[in-house]
Amino acid sequence: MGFAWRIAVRFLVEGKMQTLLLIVGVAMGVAVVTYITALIDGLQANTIRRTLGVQPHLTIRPVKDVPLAGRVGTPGADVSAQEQPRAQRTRSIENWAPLARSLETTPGIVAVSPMAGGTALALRGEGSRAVAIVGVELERYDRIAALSDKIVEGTARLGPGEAIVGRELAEDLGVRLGDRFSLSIDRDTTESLRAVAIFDVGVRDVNRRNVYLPLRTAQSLLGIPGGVTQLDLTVTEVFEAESVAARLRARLPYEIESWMQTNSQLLSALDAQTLSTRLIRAVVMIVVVLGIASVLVVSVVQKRKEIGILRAMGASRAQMTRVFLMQGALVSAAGSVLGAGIAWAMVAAFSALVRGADGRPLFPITLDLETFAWVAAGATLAGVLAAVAPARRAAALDPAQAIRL
Amino acid sequence: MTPPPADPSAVPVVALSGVRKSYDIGTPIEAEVLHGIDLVLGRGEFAAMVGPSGSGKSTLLTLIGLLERPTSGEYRLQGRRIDALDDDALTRARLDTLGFVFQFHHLLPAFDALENVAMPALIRDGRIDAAARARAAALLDAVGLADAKHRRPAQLSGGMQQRVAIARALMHDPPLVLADEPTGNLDTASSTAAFELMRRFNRESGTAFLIVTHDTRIADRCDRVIELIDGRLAG
Repeated sequence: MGFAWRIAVRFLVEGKMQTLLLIVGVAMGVAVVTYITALIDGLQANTIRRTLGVQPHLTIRPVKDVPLAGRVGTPGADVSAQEQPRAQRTRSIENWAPLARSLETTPGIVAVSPMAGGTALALRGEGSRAVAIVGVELERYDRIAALSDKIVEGTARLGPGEAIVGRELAEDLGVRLGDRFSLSIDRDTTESLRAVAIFDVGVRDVNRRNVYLPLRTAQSLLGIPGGVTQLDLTVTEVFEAESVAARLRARLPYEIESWMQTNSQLLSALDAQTLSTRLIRAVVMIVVVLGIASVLVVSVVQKRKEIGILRAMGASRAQMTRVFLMQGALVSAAGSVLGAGIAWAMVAAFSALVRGADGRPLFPITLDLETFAWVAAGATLAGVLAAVAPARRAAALDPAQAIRL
Repeated sequence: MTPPPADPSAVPVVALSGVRKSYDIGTPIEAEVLHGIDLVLGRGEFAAMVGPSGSGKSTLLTLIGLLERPTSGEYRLQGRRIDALDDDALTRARLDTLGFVFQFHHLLPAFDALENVAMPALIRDGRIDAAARARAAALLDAVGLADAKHRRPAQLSGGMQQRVAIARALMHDPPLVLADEPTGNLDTASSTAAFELMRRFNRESGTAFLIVTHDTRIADRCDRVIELIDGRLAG
């Protein structure tokens, strides 16, 4: 290998301009691939984080009420039956407490949080807004949606008679920290609550709609003392949620829904994005390979005489092949290092220049070492592959002819 | 393969018998360049090969130099039958047994004089170790280029380049050096100097030389003159 290394390095140093072109070409390819990978990874991670920031990975609800089939008629006669779906009342999950305990110890599930949810009117003075009641035990709910981390004012706690409201709802109702407001289910069921914290999950609709209150308060408001309408689950692997759901469906008589079902459109959009990214990366790689191959082919023609001398002196075909494979590997490796630098600069520029309406970066993109290692390894392999055809040409040169030139 | 002879010094370096070479030039008629050559070159011989242009000198030299294979006939290099070997074996035999000096010097422009001389060591061992470096330096001293070790070929005159090439041919102390018009591109003084060097190495280390030349003054000063006319040895 020493021979191939020494000759390849000298050939590259000798052909400065060509070598520079090769390295810059590879660097551009590596930079584009690395940057796009980092950008899309960052974008997707951010999208999923935002989606799952306010959504549990899995939800368990009671099965829906269905009408009992009442068939009246003489046996043998045709019956035309039309079924009217039933309106769903607020129902509790039966035996939810033992169910929750058993789920907590199920492999693949890391957290379970009971929730009593329904709709209500939030009232303050003349203002009224339709809201969603989310009755939770804050400590357990934090393991589902990390609500405490999204508090922008006040302290994260849910004592009796306390509520956490969203930034937009607080503005709509004119509620400040410590102010009271009422939640009303119907004319007879109203509860007065004190806003102890204001949250912002980054999604305006959620900020405007959700009101978090203690589980017990919600239970009594909704008329299901001791009951819960939903269990929220967090799973170990976000993208395993659907398979965990399928396993649970097989053994539990409940409606079980994963975030992947709820967001199937989002997921297919992400899949499409991933596919186009792969396509772009493949095309860039092919362009780089063709570029390296064409420059090296020219280099073989230019170096015919030198190759002939080396062969005449006793360098084998295999040795000449390795000289050119080594050149492919060397320019790709050098190009990868330079490309990583360019990608890093592009990421830094993106983070500095592209900002949302609020002046904060749109989403974080990071250039992790693993992405770069994969791209660099891929580029170097591509460089060696690109050098195969030129290397074979070099090895096939007839030394007797080459030295007569 | 022939068993190695008892006394290697008794075996000629080159033994050709009935060697023919023809080129397939794409026509039904093959162009035969060499018509049955019988030639023996002894150890330490200092021979010139002369003949008019197109007589087949270069072809014969590339055959002896293992850069091409004869179409028919037998070639023994140091007693070893070599005409049927594959490319890798021929390449290895070139590395171990032969040194080349070409008309246009053919040094590698990216390497300095010392590295050019040591190139056979790099090909064989994958590196130029201290011993190879010392040997190359000694050879450059011997050809009078002690001060030019680290100059690139482009910084050397034609005569100096040819002396580097002669030193390179001797790097592995081969039993035979083949020279193709080694003085063809040099002025009289340089040409004399190059010839004297080859003569000296021939006497000092017993290396056989086969020198293809047009220059009668060179041929006249060799121990033996082989004349090739129309693809046949004269006389």
